[in-house]
Amino acid sequence: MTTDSRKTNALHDDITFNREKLEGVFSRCGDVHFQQWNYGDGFAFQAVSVYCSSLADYSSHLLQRALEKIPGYESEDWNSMTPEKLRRCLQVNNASLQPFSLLESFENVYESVMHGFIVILFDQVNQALGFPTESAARRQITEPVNEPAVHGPREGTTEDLSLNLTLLRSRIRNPAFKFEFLQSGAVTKSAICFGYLDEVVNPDVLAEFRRRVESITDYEVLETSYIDDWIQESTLSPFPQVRYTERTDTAAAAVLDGKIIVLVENSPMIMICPAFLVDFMGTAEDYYVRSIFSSFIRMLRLLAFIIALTLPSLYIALSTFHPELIPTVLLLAIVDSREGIPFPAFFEALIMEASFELLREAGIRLPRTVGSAVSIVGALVIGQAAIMAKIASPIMVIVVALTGIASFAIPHYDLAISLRLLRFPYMIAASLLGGYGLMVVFLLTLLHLTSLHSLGEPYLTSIAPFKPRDWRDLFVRVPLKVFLRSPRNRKLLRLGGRRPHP
Amino acid sequence: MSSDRSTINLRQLAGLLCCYVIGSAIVFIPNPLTAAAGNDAWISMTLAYGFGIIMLTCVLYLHNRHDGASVIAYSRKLIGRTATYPVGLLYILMLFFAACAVNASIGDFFTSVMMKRTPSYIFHTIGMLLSALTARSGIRVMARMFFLLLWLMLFFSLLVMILAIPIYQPAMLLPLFENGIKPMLHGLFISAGFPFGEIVIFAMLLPFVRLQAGQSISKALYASYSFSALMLIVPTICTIMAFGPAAGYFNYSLYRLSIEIHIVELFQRMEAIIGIALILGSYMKATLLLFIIYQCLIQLFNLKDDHVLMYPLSVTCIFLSATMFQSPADFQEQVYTIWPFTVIVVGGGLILLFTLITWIKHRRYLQAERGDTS
Repeated sequence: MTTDSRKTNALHDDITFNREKLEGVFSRCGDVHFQQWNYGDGFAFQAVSVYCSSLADYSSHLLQRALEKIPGYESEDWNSMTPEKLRRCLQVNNASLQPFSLLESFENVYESVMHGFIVILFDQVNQALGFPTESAARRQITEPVNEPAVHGPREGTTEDLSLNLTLLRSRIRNPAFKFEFLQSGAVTKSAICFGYLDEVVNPDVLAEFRRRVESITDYEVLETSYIDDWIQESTLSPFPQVRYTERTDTAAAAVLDGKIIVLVENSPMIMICPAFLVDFMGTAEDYYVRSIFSSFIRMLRLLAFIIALTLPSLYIALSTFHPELIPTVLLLAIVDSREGIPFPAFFEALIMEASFELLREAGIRLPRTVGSAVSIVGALVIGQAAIMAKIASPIMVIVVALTGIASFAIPHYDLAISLRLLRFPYMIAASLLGGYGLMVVFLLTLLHLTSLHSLGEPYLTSIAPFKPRDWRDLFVRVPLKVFLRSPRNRKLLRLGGRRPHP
Repeated sequence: MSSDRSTINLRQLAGLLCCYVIGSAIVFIPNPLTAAAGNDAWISMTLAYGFGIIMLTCVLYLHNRHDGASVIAYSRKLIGRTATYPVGLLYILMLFFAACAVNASIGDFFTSVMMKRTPSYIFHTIGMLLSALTARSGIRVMARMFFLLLWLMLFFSLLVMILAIPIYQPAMLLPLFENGIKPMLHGLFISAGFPFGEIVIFAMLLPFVRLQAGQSISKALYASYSFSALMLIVPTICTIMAFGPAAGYFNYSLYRLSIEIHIVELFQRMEAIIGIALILGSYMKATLLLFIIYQCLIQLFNLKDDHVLMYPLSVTCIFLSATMFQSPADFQEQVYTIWPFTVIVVGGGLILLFTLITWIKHRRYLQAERGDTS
């Protein structure tokens, strides 16, 4: 910045000039108010306070009490205050003026007003005081709607960044837990915060993340997913390359695992990166229930994954190409139920899957009061009516319903979406080449997954590259007694300054 | 994390060796072998494994002596730049044959057993494109992926062999040497070429490995090679025990074996599983071969490693696999008579020649050094 431009931007001694300039900038901002008051001997001197009523609470007595403190610094009171004394007071007590902040340029004033500060300008003083009173109404901490749990903590994040950080910091009270801030965009100036546990996070991953996220700061970021889209490796991949959570315990566990978490102002979503495929198979609750039960659940999820991805295509392949592979009695049952259906199995499956997808989408977007109508209609469309109308066979309805249920059983919505997308190419391949086609798309999917990276780390980490050590927390969850003695926790113990037990 | 995506670790190399040796052979080899050697098939195989070990020793010796250089690189050093061109071309031609044979075999399997009305070029094309896409992703992705698929393939194959236990009749293994030693030698010839001798081609992949301190490449490769041999000998013994003298007449022995499985109402119709194992095995082997062809080509002609050649190569392979074999009988003759001969004489001969030259050179060098010091 050149000295000239700084001169024009700096606050002037003349309060009328300052006020006019500010009023020009804030013109047509109905929620920005100017209030004039006088002080000093015989109210000879002018002061103006500026605030944004939708962000700041002017009725607060805090300001009054704080203002009373200012002349106290010089053992004066407002009646005998002159601009001279005030200026000296501001210069001398610069540091001890808390909670006030000293503003010197118009830029500072705009920004402070827009952040819910009350800014006070004085006559013949080329500095202004900003007093923080942000009191915008916010959603209360509630149980996370998308990630309910039977056991474990129930607090979810809100749209308030500082509150979210409070929740996180109160879980990991360690100086190694770092929060770094970035400001994005020229207009919204929303804060992006990323946190990680120093010395536990992989430094290469962190450097890569920094490099990528720094390039987004020029653009407006309204939600955490903007960053996801910005930093991900493969934009066209159906698979999610970062994980989201609204649970602070999940986020804290991820941080201890060496992941980076990202929060954006005005969004409750915490983004966890890098995310691997296996991360989408677990939930926070897995560690709160008995290990044998959570292992069972993990296996169930694996089954759900396979069913959600392949069941309709498997049915198509078996019934059209390899009926000889179906046990005879079952085959007879299928043939029997398909009698009179005018479509080949592929179209039958396509119609049912498509209507199921339509119903699901309709159910999400509808107002909640109308939502129940969808389920009534839905039960008719992909149910009894479809069978009676000979559009689908009962077995097909079972297949579609089972697929739907299986995709609901996958704990992360993002992964369930990718399976929904992949199901259709699988069905097409199965209808063209049967089992061989299925095998080919499976290999293509696997090839894609193996080549995919999340922040430079292979997406299939612990499966390919194969890491037998990780398998204790993959498809089974070993008892915490064993799990907590893992190398990861030894590292954490060292970080906490304690020597791990042998 | 490593930015260098063209290297693999020792475990992955050992895994690739398993994929390469077991590959399609686990389904294909028992049949021609029992046809040639009858009950002695497994003895032929064990001896062929011995031959393979000799080849592997040579390959490892060359690898160590030449500081991990590739076959093309040490060939240039040993026999000169000009002589390397015909040798390299010979190598590439052999590889083309192998890749196309593996690719064609899967088409033949499907058109003859599972999907009789589908033209085989569809399988040739799709299989090869899949291989090309995989080979193009680089060796690290291949190594990671195949390590997973290897277990899948072995699991399926072993599942069938275990479920077939009720139909085994160990007495079928006797008598040995019914028709003298000649059938056994014939079997030895076949299996020494396919799959055991093919280790000489695998030598091209050794330079990609990055060892960590204290790792021994020889130990890992001997172990994985022996494991692969075991995985090939066991199904051969299983088929002999299940089918006895008829084993030689059933093409795709493991597939036949899976059809016979019938344990209550639960375990039946297991053919699909062998189909999966076969697809996986052939796909992995074809991919590795395609990758080796590509590596040979770019090293021989000093081309830029930008994967541009992969697609023309795979198209060539598609056409070759569609046209190379006139009939299944032709396939049998080429793969089980001509190919073993080529592998043993050309491939094995070259490696032996290289080993000999290296050994002599090394001895001279040692002598010279001793002469200097004394």
